Amino acid sequence: MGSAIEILLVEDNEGDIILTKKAFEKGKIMNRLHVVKDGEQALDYLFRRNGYENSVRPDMILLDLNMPKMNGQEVLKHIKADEGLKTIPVIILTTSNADEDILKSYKLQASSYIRKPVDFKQFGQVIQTLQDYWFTVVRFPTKD
Amino acid sequence: MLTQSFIDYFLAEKLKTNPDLIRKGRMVVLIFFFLAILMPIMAFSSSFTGDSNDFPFFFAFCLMVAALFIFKKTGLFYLSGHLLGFLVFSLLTPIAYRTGGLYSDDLLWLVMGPVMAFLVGNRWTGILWTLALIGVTTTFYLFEKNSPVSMLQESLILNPDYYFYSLALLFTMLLGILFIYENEKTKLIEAIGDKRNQLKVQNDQLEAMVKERTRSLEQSNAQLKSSNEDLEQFAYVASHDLQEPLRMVGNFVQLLEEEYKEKLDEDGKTYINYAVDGVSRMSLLIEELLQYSRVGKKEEQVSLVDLNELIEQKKSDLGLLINRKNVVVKTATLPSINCIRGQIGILFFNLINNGIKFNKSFKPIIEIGCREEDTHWVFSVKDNGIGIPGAYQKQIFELFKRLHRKEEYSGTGIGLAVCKKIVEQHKGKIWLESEEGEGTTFFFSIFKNLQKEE
Repeated sequence: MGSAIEILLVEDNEGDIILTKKAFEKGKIMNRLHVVKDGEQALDYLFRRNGYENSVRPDMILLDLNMPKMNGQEVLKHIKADEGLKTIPVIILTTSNADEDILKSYKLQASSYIRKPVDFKQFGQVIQTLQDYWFTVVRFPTKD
Repeated sequence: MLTQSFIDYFLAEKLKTNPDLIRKGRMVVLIFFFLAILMPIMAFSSSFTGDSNDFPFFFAFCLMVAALFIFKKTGLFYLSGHLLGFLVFSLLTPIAYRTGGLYSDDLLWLVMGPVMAFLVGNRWTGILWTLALIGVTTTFYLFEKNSPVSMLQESLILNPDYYFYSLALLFTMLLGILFIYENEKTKLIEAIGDKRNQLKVQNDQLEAMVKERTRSLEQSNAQLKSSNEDLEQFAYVASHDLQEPLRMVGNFVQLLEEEYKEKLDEDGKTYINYAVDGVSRMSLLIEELLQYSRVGKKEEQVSLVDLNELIEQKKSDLGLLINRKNVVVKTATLPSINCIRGQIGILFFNLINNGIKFNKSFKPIIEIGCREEDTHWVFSVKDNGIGIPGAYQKQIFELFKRLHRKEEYSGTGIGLAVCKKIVEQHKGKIWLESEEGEGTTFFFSIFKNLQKEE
């Protein structure tokens, strides 16, 4: 494997940021985790503006739903509306099964949903599975 | 008709509209009418016969008429008027006879008494006046040795002027009866009108009352509904937001264990295990509470669901457990029914899961069956597990009701409460048959014609 995989984590909860980092650290695949803390920052990062002019295009976005200012759903809408960005897989982080169902009912074009961990060991496994799946099985659209 | 024309003539326009005044006016008119006709006849008769014993009889008759018409039928004056008339009749008849002044025309007065009393008065006045008639005629019979009727006939033959006299009396009587008839008719019509008005007023009141009741019922219904929704919303938000801090506790305790392994002794690790166990149980509890509160929220619509496919999916969800405990799930061919797919999925999942969980047999067997009834589908989930003692068979559908310690069988006591709520959402019932040590069969019914719009 040549370059590391770029991951954008959109998450406002410090605790979850640490946990996600830890889970990816244990992964077998080299990765770089970029963190932004709300929806507006996420869009700034993705559209390379307001201090994020030199940001790297992510291979995958992990998106929290419940955030201040602009929530995950709106961020997702913006991503899916942009020709350059809509091919990036977006994985939604949910708090409960209930959220997952609600999301499905919104018919948002998310690639997948992961429940935020209650059990850290389990979460590690889920992240591992995710990595395996997205980076070894699924072929990503080539970068521009 | 005749009296009506009198009224039209005598009473002012204004008075006619008051039914009470009209009735009183009629009485006055009647009395004067009688007097006006009778007075010349009396005078005429006296000039012929030369006696004046007609006066007391006429007086008694007037008393009776006045009593019949003016006073209320049950009043004291009414009765005393009749009694006075009766006394005058009974006392004066023998006296008149003794003085030789009793004439056959007096019999007509006597006959009129009971007739009027029966027509206008009540049963008792009629009887009173009949007694008076019987008394007087008996007196005639006793003293004359002759029946009053033949005496009357004799007198009429002997004194032709009595024809005129008697005809005049009969005419008055007819007029009286005519008046009475009209008066009664008017009273009756008025009474009917009154009753009708009363009935209308009562009807209106009743209608207003029903409306009021309906409104308050609708109001309290809406209140109940909104408070129910509030409660469900509260449960949803509460349990949802409870997950957040719980996750932090659970994850960081585990992270602590993982990253500080070397620094922790055995006690420290045990404490962490307790903390992690507590967190995971609480998380399950919250998740199921969330599920319970969501059953009422109708997030999903009724649709046609192939149950065979649904059961297959639930079996695969339970795949790990089924493989580990070597479970056989036998399923009859099931229909496609109108239901809320997500909810019925949870229902089957919970029942199958219970059947496996509360099962100590070497080879757990779960059998799913179905039968069709008139209005409902009835499904059964049968296991060969530990069974449920009779005393608890109703209680177990209550929220948080558990029959075992958590070390024996884990669980939150919410699963069957969720099942019950789901079945109720589908206009059905849930019940069970069980024998300890033999197994349990859960039955539930689902209404066939659930509306898809609902």
